[in-house]
Amino acid sequence: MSALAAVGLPRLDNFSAQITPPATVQFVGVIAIPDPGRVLSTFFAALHRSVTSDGLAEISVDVRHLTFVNSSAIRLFVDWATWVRNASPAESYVIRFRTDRRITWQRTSFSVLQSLAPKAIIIDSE
Amino acid sequence: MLRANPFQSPGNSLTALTNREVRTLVRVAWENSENAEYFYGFVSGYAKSVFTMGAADRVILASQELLENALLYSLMSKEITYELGVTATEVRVSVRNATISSRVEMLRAHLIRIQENPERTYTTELERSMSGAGRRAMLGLVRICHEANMVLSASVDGGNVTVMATCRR
Repeated sequence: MSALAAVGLPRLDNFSAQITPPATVQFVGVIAIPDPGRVLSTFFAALHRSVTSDGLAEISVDVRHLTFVNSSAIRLFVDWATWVRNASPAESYVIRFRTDRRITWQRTSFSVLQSLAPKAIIIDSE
Repeated sequence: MLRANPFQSPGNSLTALTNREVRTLVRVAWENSENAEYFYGFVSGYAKSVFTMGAADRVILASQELLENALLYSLMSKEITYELGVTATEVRVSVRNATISSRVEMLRAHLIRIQENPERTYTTELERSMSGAGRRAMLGLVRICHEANMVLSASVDGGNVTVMATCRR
């Protein structure tokens, strides 16, 4: 079994994550609790570790149905992009975010993230 | 304390409001900030039921970010007050919490910088976050201006600061 498939999924009201091996993650719902990092930072870190452990060149992250996140949750994506940007060449990979351009937070946040980490992030906008 | 009238759409009573008259739709005060978490769902549902989709999204974003900042920075054992109101032309979201004068000065400086160029400030804040120098409250305020196209203002009353976000209905 791949390391990605073994990542434990977080339990959070109004939010769910689904992992589809070998290299796809989908987030659905909203992240609106104060300080969501308490619940989700270990999950994001586990995703990053598992991608490097599996030696993947790319992971697809589908956020099209993640309709709202607060700014603390945006920092989770910032952290993930930072880890990838700072990874050694042997552990580097690309995060391909599948986004919905009609959703404002996705349109504004991911384009800036990509400009800050162009080698780490690809945006597929629908 | 919770006061809200979910059966009265502000759109139904436009003629009764002047530009200066503010109708309070929701006013909630907490003495225990832990209860605020449950309020997010209520605000989201209420805003969607009484405003157009665009205005509701703005209200939800501003409510979330202002409340989270208040929870983060209010002094212990002090009250946080949330208000959602409308005038004939505007929607107003405001959050009041106890603070200290040095934070108010910092907040005012932030608001000036944000509103000079919200897009640039948003990029700067994400960049700072990536370098580990992000300021937690700042990103939320920038989003209110940049994503929601709302105008931010702050006022001080004694030991309390009120941050207000406004936009057209």
